[in-house]
Amino acid sequence: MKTTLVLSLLAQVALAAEPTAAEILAKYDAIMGPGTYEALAEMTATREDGTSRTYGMRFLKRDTDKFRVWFSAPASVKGQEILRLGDNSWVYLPNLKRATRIANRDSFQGGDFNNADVLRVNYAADYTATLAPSPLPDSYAVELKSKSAETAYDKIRLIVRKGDLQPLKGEYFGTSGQMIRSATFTEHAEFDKGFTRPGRIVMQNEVVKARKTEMVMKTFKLDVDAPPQRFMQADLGK
Amino acid sequence: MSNRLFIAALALATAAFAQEDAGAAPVERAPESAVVVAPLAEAPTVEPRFSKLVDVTGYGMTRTQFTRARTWGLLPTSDLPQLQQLVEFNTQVKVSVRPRSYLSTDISLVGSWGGFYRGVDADGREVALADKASPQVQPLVSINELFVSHEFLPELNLLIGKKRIVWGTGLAFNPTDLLNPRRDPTDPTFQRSGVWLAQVEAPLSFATFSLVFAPTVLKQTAGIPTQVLGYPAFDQKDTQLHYQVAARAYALILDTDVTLMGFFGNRSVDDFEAKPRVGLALSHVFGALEAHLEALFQTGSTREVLNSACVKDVMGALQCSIAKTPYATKPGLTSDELRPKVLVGGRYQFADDSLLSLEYLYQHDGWNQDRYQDFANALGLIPEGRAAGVDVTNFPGAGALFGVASSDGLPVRFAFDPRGRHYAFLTYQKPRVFEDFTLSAVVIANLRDLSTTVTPSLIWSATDWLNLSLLAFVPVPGPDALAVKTQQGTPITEFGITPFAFRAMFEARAFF
Repeated sequence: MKTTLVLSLLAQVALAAEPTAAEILAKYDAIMGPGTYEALAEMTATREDGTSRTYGMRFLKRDTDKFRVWFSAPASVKGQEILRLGDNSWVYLPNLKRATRIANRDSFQGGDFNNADVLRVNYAADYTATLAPSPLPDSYAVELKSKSAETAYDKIRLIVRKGDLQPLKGEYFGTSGQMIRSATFTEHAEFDKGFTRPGRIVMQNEVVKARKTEMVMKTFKLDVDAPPQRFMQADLGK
Repeated sequence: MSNRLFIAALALATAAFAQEDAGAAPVERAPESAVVVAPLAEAPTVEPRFSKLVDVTGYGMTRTQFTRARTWGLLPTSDLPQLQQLVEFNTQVKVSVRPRSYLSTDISLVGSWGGFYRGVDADGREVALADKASPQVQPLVSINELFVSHEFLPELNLLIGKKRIVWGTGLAFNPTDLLNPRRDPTDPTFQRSGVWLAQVEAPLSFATFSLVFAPTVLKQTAGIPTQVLGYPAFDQKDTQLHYQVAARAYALILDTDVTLMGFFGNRSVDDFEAKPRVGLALSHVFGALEAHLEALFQTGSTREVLNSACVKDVMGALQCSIAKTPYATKPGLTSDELRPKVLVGGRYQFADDSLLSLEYLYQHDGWNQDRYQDFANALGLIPEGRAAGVDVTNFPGAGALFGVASSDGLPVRFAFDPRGRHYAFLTYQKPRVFEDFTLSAVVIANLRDLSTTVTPSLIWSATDWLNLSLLAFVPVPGPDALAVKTQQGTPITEFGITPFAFRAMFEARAFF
């Protein structure tokens, strides 16, 4: 009986072993950018004067590198679309009736998210991760270092909670080492069967403290129909 | 059971239990250890799918414009209203007829009023002219787009109707655009009108192929086409079919947009008959810099040039008139010489989201110094023609400088028709100069004579649905040393002879 108890304890200890940085990163990607999904979101950008602008949008993602956004509000941006394909992104402007290339560093609709924050959640491909001491209780921290100059940030510190590795906080640094953004992930909820993720992300501008942008997920459905044609440049504006 | 097997069984059982627990809970239970920073949340209510059966959007726009007529210049100003009020009501409707079919419309009702015309009397003094119904102040319906699209297969779709299709990568100018009404580079959002066409498109995994047939609209009334493809027997201006066939292959190769285009047109956008042309467009992003190239390769040219002998002086003009020698011809129409048009440029996005775009346009068939000198000589004849009572409004090549209506009837503030060989387009845009204010400037320069047009603007996004804009349009003559001169010694540069000194406008656009 004693032997059984010891073995059981050993097994529990083995299961509770600390995850590696790579495992945390892979889990983050799986939570924030799962394979194929469709989502409705609302983004509110708060500016320095305290006023805010709210944008409605639909996301469609397929595989690791195909992403599409349709803007539905406000009226002045309705009809705009964004397509990301690998390292390439295009924006479609209905007023111009055409698509043009955009760089990954561009801010997402003038808010505090970068295009890459929204369109490219594949940190495992873009950054190398190492474990770091976490400033929050019952959490892990990983530091991500950019693999190339093409990424939106030079360094990121991610904090995830123990147990399910759900993201709690992110700190984003520029090449000068200055923290330029910080994100808080809250309202974790089960959006699809067995799939839990943060429902609200607040991206704080750390350079201009009065600015912040909040992204709220309204729906988030996995494994939806996402034909490859929706991820072609020719489909923009259709 | 060995110890190893027992441990494995325990581990599996624990994992299975953990999974079952997670699956049983519709709303996440946060681990107790994380309660400080991760509050529990209810799963959001599932909303209906985003796609709607009918999607309506649009805007109302009013533009008040003051133009200072340059009555002291060479070009006539009698058709140029100094004060103009433009009102546009635009609606864009997309109707999902079936899951794979939709109807799309983008229609504008445009009303305008113009007045305060100015001209000169026989002594050359500025005088007020009576208001008139010039082409710029006609009300019209502008069908920018009206088409039906159906997807037979994910890899095959058909589109029929009027649509603006742009395959080129140029921002201010598209040399390969042989289909659409030309865009005003200082006001690109105003020209959204397309052409009537049928398009078959095959978006495949490795490339997209498109084939377009666009019959030419030969006549239209208030934006509504009344004659397409050919002239009827009772009004047979010619017996030919007027059309453009265009094909393209697009692929993303090494992170570069690569578009190959082929055209075959017959008296469509120009006077070429049975003319094949080839186009190429590339675009690549290097960090924050987008670089692009757009080129059109064709033999011959439809560019109009003036007959030197007819415009050198009054006597030459009279002799040509008596001999019925045309003042302007298109000598390159049947030439076999390769005449490419190439645009290269880049767009750089700064860290503060401001944007700088610079493009260079080369036109092999553009006017050289001698052609510009002929133009200057002809301009020098205008005062004498005016004094003799000859209508000089339709002076060859001058129409582009009048701010006339575009080919589909929409009034444009600047009808850009580049006649030279070398041009530069510079655009700078800085959003959030104050919270909702965007400052921008567009400069178009003729690199031969360094004359420019400068278009500064300040746009205030007052609310989510209202934009207020102040714009100016200032032509700047180049240095006299680079100008060609009339017989009277007046320096002539391309943008220095516009029939107006400046334009200023206030625009309010409310979206719905």
